[in-house]
Amino acid sequence: MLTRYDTILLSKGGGYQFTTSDGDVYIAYFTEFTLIDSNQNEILATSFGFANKEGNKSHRHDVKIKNTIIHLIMEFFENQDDAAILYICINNDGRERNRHITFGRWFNEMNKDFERYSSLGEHAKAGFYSSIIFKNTNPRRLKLIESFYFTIAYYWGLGENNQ
Amino acid sequence: MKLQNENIDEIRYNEDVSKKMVNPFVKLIKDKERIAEAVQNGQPLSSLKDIKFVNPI
Repeated sequence: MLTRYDTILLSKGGGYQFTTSDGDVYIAYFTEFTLIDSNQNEILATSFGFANKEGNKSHRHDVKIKNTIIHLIMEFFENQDDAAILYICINNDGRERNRHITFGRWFNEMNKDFERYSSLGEHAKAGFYSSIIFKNTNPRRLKLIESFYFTIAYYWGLGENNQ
Repeated sequence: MKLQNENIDEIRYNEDVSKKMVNPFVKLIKDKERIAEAVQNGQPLSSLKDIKFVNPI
């Protein structure tokens, strides 16, 4: 059993809160996210993120933070076979690539029942890092993959000539 | 177009999709910045009215 921090579900959709042994308070949250496919259909997904009350200050490496985040994501999928979680690493401090790599490493530590698809190298050159994850048994699997890449290509104008 | 980890060879890009829609990635980036600011200020996320938070079932 991985060690993690206890989480508190905040009221009124306010996300989950946990406090580290160093006293850092984190809020993890899920929000609605709508992809589009090539037939103009809206494909509902969920975005995931978390924030620290101390902002972007440097923190001691703490494996329990990773375990807590993975736990929340796994719990999200527990009763939702057709769900998908999208996350994006914003470029507000020049460390978005590092965060994207870290999150990918965390994903690899999840069990093998999940798949992850990421924005492409040309997107990274434009400072855009995003991934979508879902169960490998997801009945919407192909639709999610197509709409994830279509939405990126459509709105960022990237990827159309990548054949 | 080859997708990562997947042997899918083609994705069709239909230019008919309405460009009037808000770029969901731009909205998400702005939402994340607002959420981070709210968390730092101790403001409940439920007070951010135009962000649709969801909880697991």
